Amino acid sequence: MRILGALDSNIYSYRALEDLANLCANTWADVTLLMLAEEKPKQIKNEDVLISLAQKFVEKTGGDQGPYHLPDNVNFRLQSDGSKTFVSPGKKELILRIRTGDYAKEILEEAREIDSDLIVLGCSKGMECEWEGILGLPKQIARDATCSVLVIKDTTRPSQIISFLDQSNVSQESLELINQMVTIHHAGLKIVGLMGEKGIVEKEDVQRKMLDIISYYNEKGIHAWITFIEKSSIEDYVANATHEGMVALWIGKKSFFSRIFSRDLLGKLIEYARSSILILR
Amino acid sequence: MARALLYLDENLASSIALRYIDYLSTMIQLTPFIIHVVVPEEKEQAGTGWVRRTWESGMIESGKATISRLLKTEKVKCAFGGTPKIKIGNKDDEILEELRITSYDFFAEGHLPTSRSQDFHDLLDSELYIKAPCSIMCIKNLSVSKTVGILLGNGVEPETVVSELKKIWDNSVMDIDLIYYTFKDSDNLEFLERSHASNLLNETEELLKKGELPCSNIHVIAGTPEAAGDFLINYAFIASSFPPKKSLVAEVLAYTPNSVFLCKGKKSRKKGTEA
Repeated sequence: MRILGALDSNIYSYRALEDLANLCANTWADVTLLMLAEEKPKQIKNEDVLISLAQKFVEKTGGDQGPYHLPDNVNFRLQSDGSKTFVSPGKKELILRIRTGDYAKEILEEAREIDSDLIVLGCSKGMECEWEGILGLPKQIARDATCSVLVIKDTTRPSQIISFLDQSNVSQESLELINQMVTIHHAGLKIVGLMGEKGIVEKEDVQRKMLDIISYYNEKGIHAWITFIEKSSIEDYVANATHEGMVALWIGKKSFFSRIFSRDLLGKLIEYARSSILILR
Repeated sequence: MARALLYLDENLASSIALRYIDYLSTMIQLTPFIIHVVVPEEKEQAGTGWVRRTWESGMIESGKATISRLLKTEKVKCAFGGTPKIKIGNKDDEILEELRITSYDFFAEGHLPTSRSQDFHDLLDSELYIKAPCSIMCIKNLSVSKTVGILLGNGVEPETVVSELKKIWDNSVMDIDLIYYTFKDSDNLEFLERSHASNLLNETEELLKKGELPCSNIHVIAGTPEAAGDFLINYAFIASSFPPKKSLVAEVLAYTPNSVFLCKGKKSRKKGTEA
């Protein structure tokens, strides 16, 4: 598993780094910490900020006992495209990257280049979910990324992870991410299925997957629940669910959510959600 | 040893019910008996004499195969009482017939929880639930917990709940919490002092003591039925007396995604007979 942490020097990125470190301490994923900088970067300052974030990350993931290592001297290599890279081989790979240009474009490009399974980024507190000086960045990443995206809002810890499921071909990586969210936050898990106007439509493969998931968690002593909601009330339900805990949406190719959650709706959900949002692909 | 009649079919609700009963049988001494009803389509029900007998035995074989497939898939460990009973006809009628001719402590079946509380009210209004001569375990989820919650509120009959729980409690390793509920139009559930509850709470506590049943915690809660329903998710199941139509307790039981043990006393059984 490879995770891309997209960071800037603002407080929400520090907060997101903590969650990212918790996630990586559990998954032992290969990690790229990407610092976004302005076109005319104050080179040294950006490097210092990223090194400081990386030190915090290594410390939070267990220091010398953990999977990541950061040497005392970090020398970035300038790449032909103007970006800077430092590769730190530990038990698991930790890459520090500095990119300049259009932030959203650079994050998406980096995710593509490293074939990331998940992008993690923070955003400002309150009703708007923004990066300083960049309008709509978290929304754009959530909408346009081809991999899963975790947008961490600076809110209280979720007591429940609410996962919406309507397709059976949920990837093992997605399940593992849900598992990690449940574990990290010591939260319960609610799995929400969809029903039509006439009630619950028997989709054997989806329902089998639901049963497997709740059995898996119950065997681990984690409270996991199934509930069904009407397709017509999905938008309201998802919006309300963000009050209860962290919402995880499977937006697969065959998923109903990929049809109902148009790009704009997904953006609104990120914006108005009161909790962190995990978009699974 | 408590006797439960468990209705099974080949669907998610039954898979959950089967796994839950399997789990419950590790917590209480329980012998589940399986029943499955093959519902024939109207055009299938023709014939008399050997034609009918052949048709019926074909239906029974198909029902046996359904249950056999389910048991094989779910790989449960509990010991069932006898072979599964396979019936042909109307589901409610056949189950009621079985409940009348054989003595069971409760009837259990799976029911998937939905955001429409009306689905649960329809179930409470069904012929099967109204006329059942014993208590009913409506299994909505795989609730893994060692504590049972007794939901108290207006209209709940504590004697019925305690006496029905007592029937299934032999050598149980479970605990009991009492939850007294009142309505409050607020998104957040409020936890109140015990003094806010009616005498029903003291009465139930006393009955548990007399019945030598445990009582670990007491919660007095106020909020919407949705919020109260969510609060109940951490229990193994929620026990309450068969609730009056559209009562607040019925509404909480409708909204909780947890399994519900609807205790039937003499009063509600009589209602069933009259209905």
